[in-house]
Amino acid sequence: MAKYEVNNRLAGTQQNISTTFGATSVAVGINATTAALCRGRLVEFAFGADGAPNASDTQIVYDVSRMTAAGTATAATPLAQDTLSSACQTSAFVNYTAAPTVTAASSLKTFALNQRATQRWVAGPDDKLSWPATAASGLVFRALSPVYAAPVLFHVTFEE
Amino acid sequence: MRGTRHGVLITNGPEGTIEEDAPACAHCGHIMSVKPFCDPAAFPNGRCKICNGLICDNPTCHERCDPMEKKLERWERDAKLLESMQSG
Repeated sequence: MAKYEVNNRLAGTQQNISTTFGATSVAVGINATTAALCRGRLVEFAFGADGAPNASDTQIVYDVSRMTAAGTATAATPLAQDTLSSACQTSAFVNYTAAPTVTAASSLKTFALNQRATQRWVAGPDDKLSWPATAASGLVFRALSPVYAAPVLFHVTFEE
Repeated sequence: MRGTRHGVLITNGPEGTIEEDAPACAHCGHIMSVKPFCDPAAFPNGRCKICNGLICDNPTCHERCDPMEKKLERWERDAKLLESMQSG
């Protein structure tokens, strides 16, 4: 299994989040593509605010969900942890301007954090989160906040 | 739970660093948060008696054993069937 890294500073322009999981709420999306269908597994992700904190103390809600159809975003090339690994077959998109289709009630985790907090989840060997080898199926990493209106940063590690 | 094969969640915030076990549900993949010194397998319905995986509080995860691997196989089979129907 080769591991790959992607984050929403790799390509495109970071988008400000809003008060809903709307068009610009998705920072990173990783999914299988028709040309090279393969399963993937989420190994680790870390996230936090990537802008100056708002003067009003507020929360940011981060969410990881399953997606079934692509949105509009900048393609990013996932970076192999090991340079001997082959090119990544999973597609990665960052800084969405039109949100992908997210499966209803498919949230794998929703975190509400203070805007000054960051969080990191590292999977154990038994609980890596998988997505199927079907076109456009994968995971989206998104955020909203009632007050904080700047970008967030998601860093995602996955294997395939 | 330390030293086991489950995930971990690390939070850095104004109140310092908090580290907690965060296994993923063996049936739906939902990431659970476990309080320090607690064993998720000791919770009611914490472990599936069929697949022996840790499961979350979602009622559908308790009704029957439907491990993630089986779900993936089903999703892939359904997608192939849909594709073959659409292509005629």
